[in-house]
Amino acid sequence: MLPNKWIPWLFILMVVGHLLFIMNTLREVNNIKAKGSAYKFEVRGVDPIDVFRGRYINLPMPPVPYSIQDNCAQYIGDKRDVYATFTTDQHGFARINNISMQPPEHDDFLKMNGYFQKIDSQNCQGYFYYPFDRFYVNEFKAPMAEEVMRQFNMDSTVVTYALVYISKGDFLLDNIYVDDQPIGEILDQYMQDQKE
Amino acid sequence: MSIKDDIQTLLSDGIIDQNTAHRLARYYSIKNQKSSKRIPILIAVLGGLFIGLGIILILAHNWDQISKTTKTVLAILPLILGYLLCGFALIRRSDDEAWRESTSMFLVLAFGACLALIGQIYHLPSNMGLFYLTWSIATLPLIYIMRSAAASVLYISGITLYVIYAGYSSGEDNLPASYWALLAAVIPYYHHKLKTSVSSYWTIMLHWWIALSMTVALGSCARSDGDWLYPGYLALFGIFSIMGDLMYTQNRRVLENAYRTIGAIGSVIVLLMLGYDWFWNDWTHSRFDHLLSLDWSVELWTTIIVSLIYFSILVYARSTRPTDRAYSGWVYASCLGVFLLGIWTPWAQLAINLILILYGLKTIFRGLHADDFGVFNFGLIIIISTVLCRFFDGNLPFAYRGLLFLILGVCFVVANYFMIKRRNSYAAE
Repeated sequence: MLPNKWIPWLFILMVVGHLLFIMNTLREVNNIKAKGSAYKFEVRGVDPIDVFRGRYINLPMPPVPYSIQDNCAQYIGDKRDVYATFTTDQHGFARINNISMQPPEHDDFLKMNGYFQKIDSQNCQGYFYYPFDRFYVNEFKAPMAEEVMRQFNMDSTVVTYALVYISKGDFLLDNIYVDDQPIGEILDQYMQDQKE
Repeated sequence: MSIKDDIQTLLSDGIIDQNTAHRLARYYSIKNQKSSKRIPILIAVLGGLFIGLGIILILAHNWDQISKTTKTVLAILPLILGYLLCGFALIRRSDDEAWRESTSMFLVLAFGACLALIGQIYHLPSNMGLFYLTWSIATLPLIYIMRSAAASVLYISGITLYVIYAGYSSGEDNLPASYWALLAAVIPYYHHKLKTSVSSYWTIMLHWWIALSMTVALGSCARSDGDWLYPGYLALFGIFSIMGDLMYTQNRRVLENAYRTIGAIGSVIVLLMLGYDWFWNDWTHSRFDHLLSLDWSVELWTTIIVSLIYFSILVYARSTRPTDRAYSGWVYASCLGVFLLGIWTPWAQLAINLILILYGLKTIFRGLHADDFGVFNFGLIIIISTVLCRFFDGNLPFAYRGLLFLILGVCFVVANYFMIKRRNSYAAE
C-alpha cells in the first residue's frame, strides 16, 4: 500500500506523535496542580466499575442552577459550557462565586457543562454539572470505600470532601478526605480492623 | 482416507489420468499450505489480544502501594515494548503476517492501557466517547504502516464504540459526524484488501465490521425527528444488499457475504416495524411540509444523502450487471412510493405488508431456483414473521389464530419436504 521507503519514517513519526500526546496530557494534568488553586468540595460516594480503568468511587454532586434573562432562547437545546469561579466559606469549603457564559480573564475558573431550559418567554434556567465525577481506588478496597463513606455520610459530624485543583477551566482531583484524613489511610485502617 | 489416497484410487480405477492426478495433487498441496499458514497467524493474533487485555486488567486493579510517578512509568512501559516489537516486526519480519498482526494488536491494546491508566492515576472524568476517539486515532496509522488487518478491526470497533457513546448517550449532544470521516480513513486499506485478498478471512471480517458499524452509526443522529431514519435505514440496507451482489458474483455462504446477509435481515426488520400502525399514525402532512420547507432536520438530511448513494449504486449495479443481480436492492425503491402514499392515505401499512410478502415469495423462489435451503427458509421466515406480527397486532379470535398457526406449520413442513425431494431427484440424476 505505502511505498516501502516511507514506512520506517512513518513508523517513527507515529511513535513520536503517540509519545508527544501522552507527555502533553501528563504535562497539562501536572500543570493544574502546580499553577491552579485548591478547593474543597463536599462529596458523597458510591462504588461502580469501569472496564478499562478499574473501580472508582462515584462522586454524585447536585447540579448548579444558573438563570439568564435576556435573549436566552438561543441557548436552549444543545449542551452548553459555563465558567464558574469559586470562593471559600467559613468552614473552608468551595462555594460558587460567579458563573458566566465567557471564561473570566483573571481568576481561576472551572468549565462546567449542562443544559438551559425555558421557563417563560424571557427567562431560562440552566443546570450545570461538576466535571469531577470519579475517584479511582484499589479494586479490593472499593467495596469498603462505599461502606465507609455510607457510614460517614450518616454521621453529620463527619465531613467528607474532595480536594480539587482548578486552573483555567481544567481540574485535577487530588484526593478524597474524611475529616482531613486521606481516604486511602482510612481504608487501610478499616482493613486492618477487619482482619483483627 | 487422505486426499492423496483418494487421488491414487481415482487414478488406479481409471477415472482420471496421470496428468489430472498430478494437477489435483498440486492444487491440494498449495491449498493445504495456505490453510496451514492461518493457524500460526490465528495463534499469534489471539496471543497478542490476550496479553494486551491481560495488561489492561492488571493495571485496572489499581496498585495503590505504588507512587503516581511509578504508575505512570508502568503505564508507558507496555507501550514502549509494543513499539520495539512492532519495529522489530517491520525491520526483520515484514513479510511475516503473524508477526505484524500480533505485534500491532499488542501495541493497540498497550496504547489503550496507557490511556486508561493515566485516566485512573489522575482521576480524569468519564468521557468514554473521547477515550475511544483518542484510542482509535492513535490506532489508524498502524493499519497502514504495519499492514495490519487486526488493527483495522480494532479501529472499526473503536470508532463504533465512540459513535455509541458520543451519539446515543444522552449526556453528549454533539453529533458524531466525525465518525464518517474516521470510517472513510480506513476505506483505502479495505479497498486494498478487496483487491488483493477478497476471499481471506480478514476481508470477510472487515465486511462484517464495516456493515455492522455503519448500521449502528446511522441511528446515532436520531434526535427529535427520528422517524425520518426508517427510510434512511431501508436505503442503507438496500446499499448493503446491492454491494453484496456486486462484490461476489457467485453465491457465497451467509457468513462470507456480510453485506447481503445484513442487508436482507435489516430490510426485513425495518419493514416489520413499519408494518405496525404506530409509525403511520405520526406520518402525516407535516412530513411533506417539512420536506418542502427545505429546513431539514439532521435525520432528514441523513436519509436524503443515504438515499442518493443508494440510487447511485442501484443505477451502477443495473448498468454493470443488468441480469437478476441486486435482487433485494429493490425493497427501498418500492418503499419510497409507500412513504409518499402514507402521507395522504391509510393504505401505506397494508402496502408495506404486501411488500414483505412479495419479498418473502421472491426469496423463496430464489432459494428454489438456486437449490439453496438457507435462502429458501429465509423467505419462509419473512412470510411467517409478517403473518405473526400482524397476528399479534390485530384482535383475531383464538380459534382463527390457532388455525393460522396450523396452516403456517403445515406449509413450512410441506415446502421443505418438496425441496428435499427435488434435491434428491437431482442427486439421483
